[in-house]
Amino acid sequence: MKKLFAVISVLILPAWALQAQTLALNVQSSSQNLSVTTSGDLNFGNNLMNNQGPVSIPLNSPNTVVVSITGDERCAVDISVTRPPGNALSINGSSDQIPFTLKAAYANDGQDDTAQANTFIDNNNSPSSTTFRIEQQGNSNKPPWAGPKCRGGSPGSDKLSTAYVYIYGDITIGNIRAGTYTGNINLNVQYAD
Amino acid sequence: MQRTFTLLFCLLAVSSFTAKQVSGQDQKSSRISINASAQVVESIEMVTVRNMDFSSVQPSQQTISIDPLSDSNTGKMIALGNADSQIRVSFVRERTLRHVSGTSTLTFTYEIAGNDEDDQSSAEILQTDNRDLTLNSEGQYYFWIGGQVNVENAKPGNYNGDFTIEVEYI
Repeated sequence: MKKLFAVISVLILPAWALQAQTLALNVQSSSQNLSVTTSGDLNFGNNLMNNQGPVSIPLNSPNTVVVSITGDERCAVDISVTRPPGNALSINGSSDQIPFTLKAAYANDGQDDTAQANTFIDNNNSPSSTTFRIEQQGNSNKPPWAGPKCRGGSPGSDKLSTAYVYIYGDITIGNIRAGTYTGNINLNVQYAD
Repeated sequence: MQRTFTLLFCLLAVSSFTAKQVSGQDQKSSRISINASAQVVESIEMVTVRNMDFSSVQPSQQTISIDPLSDSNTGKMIALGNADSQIRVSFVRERTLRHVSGTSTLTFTYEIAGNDEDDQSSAEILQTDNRDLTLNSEGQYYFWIGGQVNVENAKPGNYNGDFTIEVEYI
């Protein structure tokens, strides 16, 4: 009986050991921090006039907000954008409103360059989320099988890179009262599955 | 048996620790908030309180001069807009006055004084392009308009001209 138990122990132990190795592999998964910063807020102007009509911040405007997303260059990120309620800016949420069309684009060629940006929100009916690799042409020297894994299992890297999301858009000022109109835009960023 | 249990416990501990690492990685996300804003201001209105008054010019006069800081014959205007807003004021200093029934002209050189209080004597002389002026807490800014014109060789009669002052928010 003692001999039988010893045999069972020997058979069981490698199985546990194998399990431990599998988990250890997961530890190697891309553990690069995901860092998200923004250049500021989206300001359409401080001296806008009643009935002024359309006011735009185009993609290449210096007033466009640049969101920098730094992480594993080979891994993809999910970006989800929440528009202000009613697609409008308002005075403290009151019924005084300015229609707002949020627009967004991203550049993932490793450079902050609006000329290379891909638009993913162009009007109020556009889907508010997208997924892209942090760097489209990540150039880590590490072969795909040797590096860590992205969250979804695809080959990751030990190298950081930065992708850029641009937030811009249009408002239309009609016959409204003077005041400061605001609205919140939220961005959720996470490594893609 | 005891040794086996100890070994199993160690392995469980390793797997538990490792799983926590994976779980922590699943939380690798970030959320940021961007404030979109637009400030709409009242449009600026210019109100003419009174026009410049030259009275009648005597043949012996060579020049007519109205001091914007002290003369009661100055023109007076008020800019009305958003309280405490910065404004830019610009004007053309020299304007041509034309004889109403002839071709004679006179050149009028404007001088303007401005103040955020309704007090001419403490006003400041404005240059042709001023960027550091501010409407007062009631959204007002006062202008007194004077100047000089040489009438030494002017033909008798009435002369008309206009004066343009531009006020805008900065």
